[in-house]
Amino acid sequence: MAEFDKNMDFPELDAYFSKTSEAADDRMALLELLKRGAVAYRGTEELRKKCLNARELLPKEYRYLEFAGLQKLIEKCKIFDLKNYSRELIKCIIIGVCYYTLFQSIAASAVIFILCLIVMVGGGYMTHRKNAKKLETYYNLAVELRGVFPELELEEDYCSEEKLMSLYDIVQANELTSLESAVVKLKAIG
Amino acid sequence: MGKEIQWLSFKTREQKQADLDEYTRWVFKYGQPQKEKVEQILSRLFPKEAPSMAMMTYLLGRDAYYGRYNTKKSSDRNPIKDMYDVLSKKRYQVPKKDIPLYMALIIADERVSEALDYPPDDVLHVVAARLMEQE
Repeated sequence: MAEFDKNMDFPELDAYFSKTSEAADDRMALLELLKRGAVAYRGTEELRKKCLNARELLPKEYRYLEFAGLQKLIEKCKIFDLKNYSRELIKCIIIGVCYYTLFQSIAASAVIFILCLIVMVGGGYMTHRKNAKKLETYYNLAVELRGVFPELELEEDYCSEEKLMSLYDIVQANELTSLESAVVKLKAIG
Repeated sequence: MGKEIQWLSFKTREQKQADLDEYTRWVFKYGQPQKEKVEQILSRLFPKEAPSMAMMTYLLGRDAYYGRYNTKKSSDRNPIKDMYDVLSKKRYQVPKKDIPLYMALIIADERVSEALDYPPDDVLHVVAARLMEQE
């Protein structure tokens, strides 16, 4: 006669179901978040377009920078720091030295050196100032766009009702628990 | 349900259908997708068994586990033993080695959520092995 313990434990099942229930909870929370996000981003398409256009106007090297580092970069671009222009300074010195070697005139070489300094360092600084302005415009729009639903902390590309609903479907269909994996999947789908 | 004498029943066809629907809702509380999932698992666990036979055995075990054939007080019951006793009856001809696996699936089914997160076959086999130790 088989004897079974009335209160028999099944640790394998306990382990499996505690894991899946955690994952299910995470998934439900993510789905809820995406749904609320989609509702929040309803009607903000114009703002997103503006933000994406502002990003397109940025030089390529600034276009895909981390959002968190943008403010620091703007400050850096605004402030004149000679250390940032050491390469230009060296170029000016080389030109000055070459000019002196050719024409043996200290005054003329100094003038050329100063002229080069104004053109290269000044030009570089002006470009940085211009970029700082563009970055600032983009940053302000990005802050405004992300601020519509800050819980998600998403790239501007995904701050729209349509994209968030696509992410929602992906999370649901693939039983995902993280937003990052959903974004990767969406990128893969194109 | 199990103790009912069918030919003495005065139920209309509609009543019988309603009873069957109620029973189906009780067994598969998450609906048709759950039924399909159970069918899939049964076909994987018992590939040599006819699907209808495997389902019948599963339902037989499940009914016993939830005390549908039992007259004892619920506090005195040992659901796992009840299930084993029913499945091991000679008249049902359930292969002895398959019984713990059916039991494992029925025990796991109790914990399944709406996401139909049935454990993978290897987990069911481990649970079945644990049950076999007790046998």
